[in-house]
Amino acid sequence: MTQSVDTNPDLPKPGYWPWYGIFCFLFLIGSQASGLLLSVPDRDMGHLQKIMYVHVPAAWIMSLTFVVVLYYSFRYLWKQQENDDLVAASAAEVGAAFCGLTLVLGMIWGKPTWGVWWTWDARLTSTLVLFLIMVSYLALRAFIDDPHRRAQWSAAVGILGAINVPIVYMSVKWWRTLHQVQSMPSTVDPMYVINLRLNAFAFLFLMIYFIRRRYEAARFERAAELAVQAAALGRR
Amino acid sequence: MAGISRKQVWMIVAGAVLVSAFGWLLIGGLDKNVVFFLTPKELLAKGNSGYEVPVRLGGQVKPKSVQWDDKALDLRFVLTDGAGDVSVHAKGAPPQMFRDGMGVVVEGKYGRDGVFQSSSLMIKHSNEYRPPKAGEKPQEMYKTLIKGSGA
Amino acid sequence: MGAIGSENNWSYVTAAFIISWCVILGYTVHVHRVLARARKAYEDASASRPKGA
Repeated sequence: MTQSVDTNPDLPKPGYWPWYGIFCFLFLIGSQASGLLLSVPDRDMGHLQKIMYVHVPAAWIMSLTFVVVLYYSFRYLWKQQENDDLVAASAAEVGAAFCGLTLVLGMIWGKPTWGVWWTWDARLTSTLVLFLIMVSYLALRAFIDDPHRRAQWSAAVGILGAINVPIVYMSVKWWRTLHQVQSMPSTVDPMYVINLRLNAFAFLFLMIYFIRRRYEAARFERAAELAVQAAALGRR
Repeated sequence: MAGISRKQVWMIVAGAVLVSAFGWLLIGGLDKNVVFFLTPKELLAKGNSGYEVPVRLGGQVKPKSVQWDDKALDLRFVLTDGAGDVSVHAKGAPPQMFRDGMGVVVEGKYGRDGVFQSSSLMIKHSNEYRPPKAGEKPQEMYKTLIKGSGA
Repeated sequence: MGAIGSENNWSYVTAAFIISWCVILGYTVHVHRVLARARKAYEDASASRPKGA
């Protein structure tokens, strides 16, 4: 009976993904250790500069997940394939987690450097709006039972949320904010740049792992629902 | 099950575009409030209407203008944007990155005596990150300016 | 004076890194739990189908 799981060619298989997950964590441990131990204190910030190695990758990866949400939401509306909706939902969940992390880390960094945990400038406010839209995206999915309606509404909210990403990114250039504008390799010491890139890649690898495994789970959830429905019909 | 027609899909796309356009307008309309702080030049240009109203003021700490009394926790400095100078009075120790030339945003009111009474002081960091030069210790500036003085 | 000074900086840095790890590990556990539950649900559902038919 259970061989139907393995013989169903459509459902995603773990394959090498568990090994890839282990690689992700080893890479993360390495890059975090490098950032914490090999990076010298900043002229003004001292050790606080190291918060860059988690805050900035979290923000970048959060933005990237919403690009995935945007792409698969449009693709769903275009092709009406349920799997696209499931990828978008998986990416949205991962993105909401990284977005929340970005906000919390920003607060921890803001208190000792700026002197405040939070302030309503354009960058912080727009990031919070993005987070709230993504949380409502996830809440919406829990409230709509019909898969097609759920997918359509999710796609609309997902696109709406992703539109905020460029606003968040440009907010520091468009408006006068407390948050500084983007650093560039020319404004950051090469040693900091290397550690930042290492940690950004670590977060990127994790993001891919998270979205893929969450998608795998979402496919099995749907397959189980369909199997239950089929069984109920068969009994009748 | 054929509940979704192409028409509905496009209605949703149109709705999303509409709502986002609305969002853009809203943010555009908020443009004035989205300016997080005024510069000294802008505050001084307001003339009479700039006095005694809650406002945020941002600029740089004018070098060699800092006076710190570590007994009374009393801080005075001049905030400048190159085009205008405003004297600022604040209570309590500033954040650790406070130093000559650092970007600062203060919340408070500009008094008719020409002194800005700050109730809250925030550091506006630049996008530069550098290790200290040889012989320079991190945060040395703060220590000589705030901690070392008077001790 | 408040919590100011370089001696307190490590506590902020430590907090930031610990929270990052909590979120990453927490999400990993969440994904694996959801995945295991979904597989189980699917196996149960497809196992019950032949009996019902």
